[in-house]
Amino acid sequence: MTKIIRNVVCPFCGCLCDDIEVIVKDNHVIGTRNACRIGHAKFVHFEGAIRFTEPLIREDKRDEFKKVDWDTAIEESARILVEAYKPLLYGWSSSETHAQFKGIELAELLGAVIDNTATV
Amino acid sequence: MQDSGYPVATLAEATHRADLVIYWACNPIHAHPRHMTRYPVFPRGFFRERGRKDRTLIVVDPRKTDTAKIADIHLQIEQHKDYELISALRAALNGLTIEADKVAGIPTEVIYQVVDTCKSAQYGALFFGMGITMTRGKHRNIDNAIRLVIDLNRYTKFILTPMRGHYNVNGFNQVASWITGYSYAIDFSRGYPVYNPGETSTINLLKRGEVDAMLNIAADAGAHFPQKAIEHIAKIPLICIEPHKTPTTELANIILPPALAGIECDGIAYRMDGVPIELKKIIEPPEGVLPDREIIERLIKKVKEYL
Repeated sequence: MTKIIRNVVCPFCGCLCDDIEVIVKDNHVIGTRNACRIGHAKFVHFEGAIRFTEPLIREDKRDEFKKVDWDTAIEESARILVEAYKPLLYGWSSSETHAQFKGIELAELLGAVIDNTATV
Repeated sequence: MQDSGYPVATLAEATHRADLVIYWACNPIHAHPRHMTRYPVFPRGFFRERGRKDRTLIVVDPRKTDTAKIADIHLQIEQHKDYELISALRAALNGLTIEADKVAGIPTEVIYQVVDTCKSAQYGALFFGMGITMTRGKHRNIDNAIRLVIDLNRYTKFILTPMRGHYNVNGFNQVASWITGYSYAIDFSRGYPVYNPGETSTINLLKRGEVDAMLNIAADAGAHFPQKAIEHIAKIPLICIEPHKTPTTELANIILPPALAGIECDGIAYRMDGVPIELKKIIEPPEGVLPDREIIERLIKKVKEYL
């Protein structure tokens, strides 16, 4: 069943165009209207993109990734961050505001450096 | 920015009022394809009934980009000379005589002509991109550009807006500003926020090898950072919160897959002019992924246990 969702906000660039119409079929985006090429590509998964659906972990960066459950992955991540002397939390720009708010709380807890893409 | 203030207006205001639009060091036709058609250049506004015909478009760019091709005035500036050109414009604006024939590759008479155009406009809007903030002088260029806008406001109404790349760069700057007082590059290692670009900014920290673990979320450090910074990332443990395979995840020790905000989960984002807009959830995320905020919440909970 195809349905059209109107007035969708495009999560690609800082313009945040809010007039996008997204055509959804069986929980998949099959098309957009009004979006630019870049925005369209973000909605419709482009060919060849590999999506992760499970947490992955590896000890050595030369090894292959192994699948793990969320609890282990979060535990291990937290351990790395806590054990570090000066961790860096970088990125945040393609994330929504609540996550960024929590991120600053995390940085304060860890005594970390927090920075976003405005720095590059 | 902390030194000069931030004279902004919403994009809608620029659309309805602006009769002079300057794109400095950005190429919206390719990077923000709908910016010109939706906001300040082509649409008819309340006070600009004829749309594009009622506006003057100035583009400052070292190359003849597609945006520059449709401009009324294209200032083909030499690379890394933004600061000089802004200073020259300010000098001309403040009634000083420029003795050089050319500043930053622009003939002096053109500079005077541009200043006259700016002064005679009813409402000017300056949009600047990464080409000015990331070349020589970095954030000092923007300080100077803001001073130029302040100077121009003595003659007419003038505003400036940064052309934000990712959809919520501004969101982070806003959130960080109201929590810590600084917009980016915030160092909590002393227990209180410290901000000093060059010392506490990511690239410099990585180049000097000062950080010993990294969490990368919602950005692609591996694709955009200088080689020396990436070499250091390869040496330290890296946690990636990233939905797709990217150059950064190739260097990761742990990958935590999130749902895509704005497509698979809701949230709020700040537009480039500082207007918060609610994102919609349009499809269900794949099984087994969590929204960014939930991942960070769980990390905070675990970190509190370990501390």
